[in-house]
Amino acid sequence: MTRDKRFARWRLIILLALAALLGILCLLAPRLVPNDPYKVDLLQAKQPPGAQFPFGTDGFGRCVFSRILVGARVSIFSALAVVGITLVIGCVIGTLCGYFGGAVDTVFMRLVDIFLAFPGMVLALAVAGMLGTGLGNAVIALVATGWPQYARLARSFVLTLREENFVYAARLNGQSTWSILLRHILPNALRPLIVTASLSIGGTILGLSGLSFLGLGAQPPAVEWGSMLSDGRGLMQQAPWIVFYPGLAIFITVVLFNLLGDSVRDVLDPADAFHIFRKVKALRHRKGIPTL
Amino acid sequence: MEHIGLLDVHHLTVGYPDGGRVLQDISLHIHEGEIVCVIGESGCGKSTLLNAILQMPGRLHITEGEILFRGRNLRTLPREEVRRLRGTGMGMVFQEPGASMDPIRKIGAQFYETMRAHAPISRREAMGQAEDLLARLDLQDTRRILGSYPVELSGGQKQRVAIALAMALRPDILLADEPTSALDVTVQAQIVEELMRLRDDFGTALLVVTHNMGVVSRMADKVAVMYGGRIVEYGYRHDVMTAPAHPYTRALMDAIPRPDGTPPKAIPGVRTKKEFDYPCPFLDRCPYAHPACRTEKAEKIPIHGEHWTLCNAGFKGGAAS
Repeated sequence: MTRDKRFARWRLIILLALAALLGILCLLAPRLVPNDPYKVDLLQAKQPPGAQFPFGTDGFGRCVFSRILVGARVSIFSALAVVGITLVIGCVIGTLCGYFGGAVDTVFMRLVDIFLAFPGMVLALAVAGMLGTGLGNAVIALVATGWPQYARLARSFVLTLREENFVYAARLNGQSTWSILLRHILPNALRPLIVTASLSIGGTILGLSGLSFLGLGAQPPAVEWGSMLSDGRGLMQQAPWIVFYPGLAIFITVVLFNLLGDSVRDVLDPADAFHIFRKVKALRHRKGIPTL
Repeated sequence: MEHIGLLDVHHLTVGYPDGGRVLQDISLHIHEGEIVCVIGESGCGKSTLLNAILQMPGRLHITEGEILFRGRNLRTLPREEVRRLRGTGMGMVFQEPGASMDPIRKIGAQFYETMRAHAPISRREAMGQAEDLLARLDLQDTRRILGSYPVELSGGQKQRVAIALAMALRPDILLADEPTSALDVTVQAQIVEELMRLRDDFGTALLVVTHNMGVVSRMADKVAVMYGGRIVEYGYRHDVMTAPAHPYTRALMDAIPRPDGTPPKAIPGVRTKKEFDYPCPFLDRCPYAHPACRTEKAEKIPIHGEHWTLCNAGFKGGAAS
């Protein structure tokens, strides 16, 4: 293993550890909070950061720090859910379209064209608006706008893989179509797709926060970073910490997941297998990272 | 039909959907344990012939003729039957070493999958058989190879593993598309030896496509010389090599570099792609062409036993000296 590769591996381990730490923090949040994140106390409103309230209090006297901790769960886990679901849906559709082609391919790809023709966020807004407010609907909206990109990517990988000699050989060995799809096509296409997915976690957190900020995501009393920003924006002049800290939390998380995505790519980059990753990079570059 | 051998190709004509023709009236009979080499230049339709036999049409289109495997017509056999025949009946080795292997799966897993696609088998049993096969192909360290990825092997190793993979189900016939072309000369010779040993050990028939006369002279029982989508000469190796009847075969023999330093002779001219419209595919480049060749369709002319050639002039003009 070269030094570069070893370094990349260590970087990935460290970033994964940080992400895991973040995950544990989310899970343990209700036990870690110094104050009740939902308790309204108007006497304590707009307190600057101090000993009792590390990040200060918001307009209703709720502890910003506690709310960030509790909100992390919603923000991060729903973003992971969005990415996971889009990945699965996109992969299935893209793989089937790419491998079998024909009418199904045409229908789905034209649908993908339509979806990709709209700015993602506008479409998500429209879907969330139609479905009504709520975190679940926000997730559905983001999934609905996110899958076409994965479907398109998966399809293009499958198209090249389908013509590979080893797929041909697997057919010549008498392996069934499903076995080929599951054992050869999908695993080969999945690595670049996982990289794309991990790179888009950050963007999804932002998208979700955006929807919440506009009031289409998590509803009170549920706490979400985006809605914290939204609630606090009126008080930006008097109590900037109300928006600063949730913003910082979003910033750190997005950066962490983006670095993680980069790192996953470096480690998985199969110079030894395929040069497909360069294609992902180029595609993402052309489309402007990230999705939303 | 006459000639029920292991694999019988009768009057096969293959084209592209747009009407372009690739193979014309190919007939070939392979018996069990026989090694048949198909030799010809690039683009003469050698690989297409293999693809047609394997019923992997892709973009090609069989317009006429039959391919019989053990007397069963592959063109009319249900797809599931064809799938079952692949691997157990016919195996395939590619030119590019390792092209038949999935780059991200360990070699052992690929053996296991291939074997399991046809019969229930335990992993341990599959690994045992795989090791045995690899050892027969002169590979050392078979256990380590089964635990490696294709990229971790050298070209020669990969080609051996590919052959072993194709042999995993003990097919009756192994189709090899230029199996040695991408390897260096010493490895080429070893692979040829090993392929012949497989035939001796398992009775596997081989259909080897090549443009290497050395390979033909070492391993072939019978030789089919192809030019412009047709077989222009066919017969036992000894007959074809010592008494080439077709002008193209003779030109090919003259084009082999010789150790005594006489420079090899190039075949004049280039392929015109019009061969299909000509009565004889080699017409444009043939030094023996008669005026009659332009009008009379080249016929199969028997020479001696199974040896025949597709040449009116060569035979009439006494070129088969």
